[in-house]
Amino acid sequence: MAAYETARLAIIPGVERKDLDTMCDVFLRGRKLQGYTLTLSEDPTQTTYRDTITVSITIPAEKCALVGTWFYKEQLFTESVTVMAEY
Amino acid sequence: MATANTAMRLQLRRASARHGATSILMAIMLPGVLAICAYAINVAYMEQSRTEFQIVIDVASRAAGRVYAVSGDINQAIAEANRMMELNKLTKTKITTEGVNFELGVTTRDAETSRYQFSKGKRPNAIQIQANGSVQVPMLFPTMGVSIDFRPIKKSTITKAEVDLSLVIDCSGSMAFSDSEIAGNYKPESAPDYWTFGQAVPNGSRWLDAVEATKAFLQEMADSPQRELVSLVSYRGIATTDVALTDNYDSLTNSLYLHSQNFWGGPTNIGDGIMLGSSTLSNKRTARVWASRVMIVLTDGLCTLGVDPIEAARDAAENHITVYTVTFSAEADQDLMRQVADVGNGRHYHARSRNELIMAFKDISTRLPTLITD
Repeated sequence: MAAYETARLAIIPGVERKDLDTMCDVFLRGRKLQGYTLTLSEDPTQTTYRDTITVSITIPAEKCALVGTWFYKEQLFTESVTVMAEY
Repeated sequence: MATANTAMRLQLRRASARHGATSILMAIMLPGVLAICAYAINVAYMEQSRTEFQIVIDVASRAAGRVYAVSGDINQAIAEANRMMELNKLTKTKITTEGVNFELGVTTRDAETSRYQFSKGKRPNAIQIQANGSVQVPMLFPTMGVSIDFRPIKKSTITKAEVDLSLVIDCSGSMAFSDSEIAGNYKPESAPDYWTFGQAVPNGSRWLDAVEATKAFLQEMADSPQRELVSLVSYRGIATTDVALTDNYDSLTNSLYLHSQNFWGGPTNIGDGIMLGSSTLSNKRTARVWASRVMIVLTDGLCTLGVDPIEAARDAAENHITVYTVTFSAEADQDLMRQVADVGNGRHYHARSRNELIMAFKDISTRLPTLITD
């Protein structure tokens, strides 16, 4: 959901990187998830109509686990959403 | 002593017997516990897949809707949806357009607080993508030793947004000249010898080109299934609201005709035009709070008077108004108007002829926003 909502925001004209970071924070830090990495395949300010932007969020699995964090050591969760630039 | 030893031996035997009972209990319960765990994981996986499925459908419908709004070609829209589905896969399943239904229709709502309703109609403004259970997603763990699938039922509808729009049009003195002339203090070449400002604008003038482009744009609005409200602001030394937001487009063309018949000209006050255009879109009596707000600013020349157009556009953008700019004639300050469009989150167009001007207005009509309504 965080990747999707950030991707939706990334295709709005005039959006800045800090806006995308804030959107991620709202979703992830609001659920007490920290230490994630937000990656964009393209600079949103440089995309044109029908280009695609892939938003990826990577977080250590142990940060998401309720129990048995030792089991997930050094494993990463990554979720990506690709959207089409509309303008 | 012998009695104490016997009691101890009995206790040890009982403890040993209890230990065996726990092992047997564990052996009996373990498959059940594992089955419950597998069931819980399956349910969580199913919910996660349903959410991912909805995201894929939303992304695909959004792309398809946008392409359809711009091109009007449903095949291009379906191809774009397919591309988005290819790029966004579920964990274990690939979705293709064969697994979903595409339907063109009309989405409208009666009031700000009511839901959008999708139905079939002659002039479609929406695309609905439906997955009616034809996509099979396998569960992570088998149930009773049998591998099972689930079939999510999801839909997403993308609609061209309702728009309140302000046309801000230059009627300064230079608009009486043709696009091939350099405007000055003398009369336009095509005007008769006795012509002065205040009379009917000469044939071949930039103004008449702008009127034709505006008429073509209003026809696009009239042909769209939504109810778009349009206001008309004209500016020269001062800006005036000629027509407040209305869906009676004839009143706009009538107002343009009156300008054509009595063309007064004057300096070019673009900033005041933008501010007044914003004002018509913010009028609580006529503007719709749920509609997207768009302004189109047309000019042929240099800003000679009034507030800075970039600052006026910045104010408009802060009020969630998207500002498009259209310049035409070689005299236009394209750099300034490009900055105005950038600040207003819109786009700049430059036209070198009447046809290009009409095409610019038509292109803007295809760029009006889309949104997911279901």
